[in-house]
Amino acid sequence: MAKLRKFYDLDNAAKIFPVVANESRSYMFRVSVIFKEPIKTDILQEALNRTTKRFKHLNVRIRKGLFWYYFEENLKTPLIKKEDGFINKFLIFRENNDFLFRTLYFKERLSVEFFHALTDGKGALEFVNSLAYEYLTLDGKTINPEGLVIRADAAATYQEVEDVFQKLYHKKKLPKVKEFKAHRIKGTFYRDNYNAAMHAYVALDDIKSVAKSYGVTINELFIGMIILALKKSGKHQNYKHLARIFMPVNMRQFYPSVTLRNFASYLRINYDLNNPTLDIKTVLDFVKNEMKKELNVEDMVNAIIANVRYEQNKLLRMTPLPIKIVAMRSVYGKIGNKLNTFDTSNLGVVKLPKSMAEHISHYSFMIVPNKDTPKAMSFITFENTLTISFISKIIERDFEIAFFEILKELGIKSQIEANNWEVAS
Amino acid sequence: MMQYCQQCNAYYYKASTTCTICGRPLIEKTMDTPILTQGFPSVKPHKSHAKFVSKIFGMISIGVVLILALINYLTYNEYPNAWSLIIIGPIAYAWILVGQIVLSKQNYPTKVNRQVMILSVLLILTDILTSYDGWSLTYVVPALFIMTSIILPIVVASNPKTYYLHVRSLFFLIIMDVLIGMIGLTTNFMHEGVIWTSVSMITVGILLLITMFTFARKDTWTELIKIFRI
Repeated sequence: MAKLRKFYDLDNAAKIFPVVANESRSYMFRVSVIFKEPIKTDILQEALNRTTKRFKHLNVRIRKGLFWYYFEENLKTPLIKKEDGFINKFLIFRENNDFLFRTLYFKERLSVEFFHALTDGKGALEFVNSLAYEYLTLDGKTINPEGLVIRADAAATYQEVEDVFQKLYHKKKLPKVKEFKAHRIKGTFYRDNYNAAMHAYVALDDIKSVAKSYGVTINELFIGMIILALKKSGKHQNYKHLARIFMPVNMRQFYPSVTLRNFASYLRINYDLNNPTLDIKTVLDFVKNEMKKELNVEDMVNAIIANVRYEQNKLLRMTPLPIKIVAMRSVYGKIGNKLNTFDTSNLGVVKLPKSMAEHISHYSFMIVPNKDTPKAMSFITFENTLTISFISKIIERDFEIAFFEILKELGIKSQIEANNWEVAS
Repeated sequence: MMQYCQQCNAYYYKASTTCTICGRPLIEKTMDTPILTQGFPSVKPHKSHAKFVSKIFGMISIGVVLILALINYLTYNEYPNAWSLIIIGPIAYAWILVGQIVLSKQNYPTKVNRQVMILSVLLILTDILTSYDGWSLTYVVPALFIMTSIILPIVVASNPKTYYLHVRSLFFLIIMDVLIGMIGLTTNFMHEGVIWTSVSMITVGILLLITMFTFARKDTWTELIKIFRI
């Protein structure tokens, strides 16, 4: 086994985040596990200390070199805090013992918010599952991990912290992809960069049967519903730009890897909202066809390689970091999130050992919107509970009303949980 | 028993009275649910008194600076020197001191280095504004850097576990020692014939580098790799 280094370069996807993240664009995402009993903070702290030491790529602080940012081992102790009502708030590392993730608790809910430079959803979920396992074990529960969770005392491997983006890199010519601006959802922004959040808990069986009846996957169903909700909530305006629904794709399904760092590409489904149809079947057929085209592994890898190529450029490598920062911020300021209308992400199904699952009520997963893409939606499934999480930077909720109208038409009932939408307006 | 919104086909737990989605009132309805919903803590509006106080002091400082600069400008024919800078300088320095040293959450070697740099620049400026004599670069600035180059490594060494965090600050000191020392040896900015201060600076810088590699070769080398990695 290769020796674990005590410092890491940021992976290709991560390089942009520390440069462009700010109060309104936090690049945080939250994975929560909800236990069946209230959380005991002293046990949680002990579990967090143990688990963080095991996950080398999370037990880091970020520092500036002369040419690049890098991660190095963090010798401090990770903190736990009670939730303050803000979700995926911009993380000031210094106030968090230099860690790039924050651990929060509220009643039965344990939440970990990650800065995206650290890891992607899958890597984060592994950490949260391990933390939950450690917590339950320290609390006296007997759990057989069944090889489904990483234990804090299990040996770490180099492959877990591997930057797989670099492995995919090649020097062959890539086809040019022209990107275009997306339609933007407008509205009144909450103050203090508040993110209004709402979970809708639905039965996985209900969603599956609806998806089956239309001959689509769950992802296609949700993207279709998002498009239709955008259309319905947009009234009858003329749209200058296409609606572009952004969804990250976990590349581990195509390139088997155990890396816990970022390893995702993305796809966008483009839809012309000027299209008068309000028929869900028509929209879903369109999404299904588009998904077939967009879920092209070669294109997704090419998108990764195109980014890695910038990083490999010798001139760029030798440019001092402060200049890189100015250049990246300026480019990102012009393009940034203007290519997306709506961000969505599906973390998939959480698989846990039976003896662990009985202590857990459900999971939730929340990504973060920004000023260009002020609404986002994410999903995670545990047993028969599919959690749909809406998060919004704007007060208007026409989109959500339209979405629930569609859910109702499809015969799907939901249970709602939300933070104080009105408070910070 | 749960609360239910007929419009959205959505159920709520316990205390909810209106639908979060559409704002309509809820009715009571039975539903079996395995889901535990905790809700979220109330958000407390963010009010910063510190910001308000700093704004008041900021306005007072700007006002004083402008008035002094204006009087200085209007009476320049009578008193042909930039006397207002003697007051404006400390005001500016006080702000830098508060921002960069007191409020800054950087580690202490970084703060010390910043302080030494800012003080040096201010001293050189004072020297320039009072018909340049070279006392700053010849004696005071070298003394500041030499003292820092001796004291800071001792403080850092008192906690060897965190040495790696401060290598860059020590390296910065070495570079400054050598650079300012070289200025003394190669230019006319200092008192003529006084080279011992420059030589002392360079010597202290080199000694610091040798010390770092003697006592913590591996850590020092690793840190340099991290910092200069292309």
